[in-house]
Amino acid sequence: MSTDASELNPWRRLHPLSPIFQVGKMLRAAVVPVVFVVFAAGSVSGFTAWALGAVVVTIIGYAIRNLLMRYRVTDDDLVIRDGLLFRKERHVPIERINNVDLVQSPLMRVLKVAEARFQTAGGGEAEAVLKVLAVADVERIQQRLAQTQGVGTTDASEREERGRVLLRLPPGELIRLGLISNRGVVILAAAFGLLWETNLISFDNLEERFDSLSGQLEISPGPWGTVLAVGVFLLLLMIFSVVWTFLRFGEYELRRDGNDFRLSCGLLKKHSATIPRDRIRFVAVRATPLHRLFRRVAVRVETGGGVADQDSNFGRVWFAPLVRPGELAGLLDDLGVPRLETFEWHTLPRVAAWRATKKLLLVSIIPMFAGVCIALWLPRVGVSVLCVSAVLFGVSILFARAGVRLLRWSDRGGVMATRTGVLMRVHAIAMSGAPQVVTLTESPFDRRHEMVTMSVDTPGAGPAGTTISVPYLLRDDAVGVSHRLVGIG
Amino acid sequence: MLRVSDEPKLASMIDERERPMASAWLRCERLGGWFVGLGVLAAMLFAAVVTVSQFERRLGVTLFSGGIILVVAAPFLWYQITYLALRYRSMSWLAAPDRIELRKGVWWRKVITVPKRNVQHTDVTQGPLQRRFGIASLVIHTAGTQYAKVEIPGLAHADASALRDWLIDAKRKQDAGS
Repeated sequence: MSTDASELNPWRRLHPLSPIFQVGKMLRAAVVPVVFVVFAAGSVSGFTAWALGAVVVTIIGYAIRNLLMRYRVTDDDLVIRDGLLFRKERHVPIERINNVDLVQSPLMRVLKVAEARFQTAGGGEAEAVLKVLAVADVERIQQRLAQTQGVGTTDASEREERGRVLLRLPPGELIRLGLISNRGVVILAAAFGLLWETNLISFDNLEERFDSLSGQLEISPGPWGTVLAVGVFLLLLMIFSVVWTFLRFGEYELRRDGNDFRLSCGLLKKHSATIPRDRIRFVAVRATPLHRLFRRVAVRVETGGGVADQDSNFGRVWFAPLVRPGELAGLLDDLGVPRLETFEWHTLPRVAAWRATKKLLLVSIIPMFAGVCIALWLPRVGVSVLCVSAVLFGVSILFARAGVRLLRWSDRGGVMATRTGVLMRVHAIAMSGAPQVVTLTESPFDRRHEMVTMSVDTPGAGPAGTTISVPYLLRDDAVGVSHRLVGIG
Repeated sequence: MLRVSDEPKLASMIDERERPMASAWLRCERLGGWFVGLGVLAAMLFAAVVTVSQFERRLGVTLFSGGIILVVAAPFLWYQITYLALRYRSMSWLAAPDRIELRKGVWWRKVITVPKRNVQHTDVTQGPLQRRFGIASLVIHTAGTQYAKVEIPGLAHADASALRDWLIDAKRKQDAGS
């Protein structure tokens, strides 16, 4: 049974409860400044009354605007009409819609509504956001889109099945993910930073605070006591990470539904993302040292056009946050990526390691020289500067050499892949046809060795490392590879 | 639509040969630089004169302001006289049936290759100064990220337009065929 086109065609309104959600978000955002204003002013009088009045009016304005929003799905477009004073009608061609993501807060889940975000390949923010719709309505829109895009199926039984489950994260995996991602440390660092900034903690009163704390708890921790306390604290951090992971990734499920991947997770705030398989331009398989400790990897994908906004990025970044070795092969198959072992990996020329070393040595001259100068004047300070620089540069050189030796690249079958990283190992794979522009850069140092750095620009090459760049390539190789990649000659 | 009379000229451009930028471009850039630079220099001189006249001990302040002006003027002169020429000579472009390449960079040399089929759309842009010299920039838009826009400056306006038409035609044929 296909969705009747005329059902979605006349102008439809958002869910009646929408203003609550729209306004709720704004209230939360407004609370802090409002409280601050009232607090600072001391009482609600004159100016503050006006300010508060303005806030209230703005909020009511948004609520009304939300009530006035209309949408419809024609044969060609998703049309959204919006605006109170400034009317706006936005047409989004159905072919251009890459993904429909669903975001649900716990309250929304109870009420069976969701925020629907429509993505196109244009990148940037979601092209269209409907907040909120009944989940059933969103599903109807999705079916309608699938029909028009010609990738859906009208076979009732197949749709019933709703796709094949590719990956789930049972509690054991969630615990591992929690320990790996270590959110506790991040929160701790943030909290520490905050305390430092507000001067509650500083170098001076650190010892004081510690003494007063132990005085208050009426314990005098000897060295073992302190070790135990630190241990307990770390344990609490780990527990916190795990709990956070459960909330964020609980009920994680990745399915393949014909030509789409469907991802859903989250105990509190539920995210549902749809990622069309043929729009996937880029796949990254990453493993931090902690991943390797647990013998797991994380898989990340980018579709045409990266997205800056955190919610919409969801399906793209956390495609598969934790994958067991046995599952990786199947997942790559489903993505249409050749298995990692089948790539013909090339290494960099041997002189590349020496060049990397030389570069760092040259850079290190500056602090070394500064250290020597200081040493002539303040010997102890100068010597410590020299020692610290020596250690830092020594370690950087070791890392750089290891990075160069471990680097691999391959361009078999029109798919460009690189393996980079010393601690964080990343396999970056640009799907066939993804490369848009290839750039060969030659530094003055490269010229002597006839080497270049090859950079492959893809759609959605974006934040945090989804770029393909190979340094120290021999020029002749690079020219050949770059032409093959973009389908020339 | 490409005019028939332009086709032989276009064909001769798409010959996979490295071509220099239009010589008028160097003159154009230099002239623009002089305008801006001399304007800034005049303003600085004026400020210096005003400042110096405020002080009793003229000599020291004069030398100081003179020093500042020199510190600003020297790199500017180097830029106008030396660097622009270096940049002009180090830049070249190349059009082949399947791609456009831009070579640029004085010390850090780059070769930017844009396959014709990856061209989304193009712009031909000209500032007022460039209009007088008959120079234009061809801006090629792709679906990439860092190179979403690739600009080839310093083309003769006719060349830039011809290349643009060629790229659009190619895109239309490709869209129709696919």
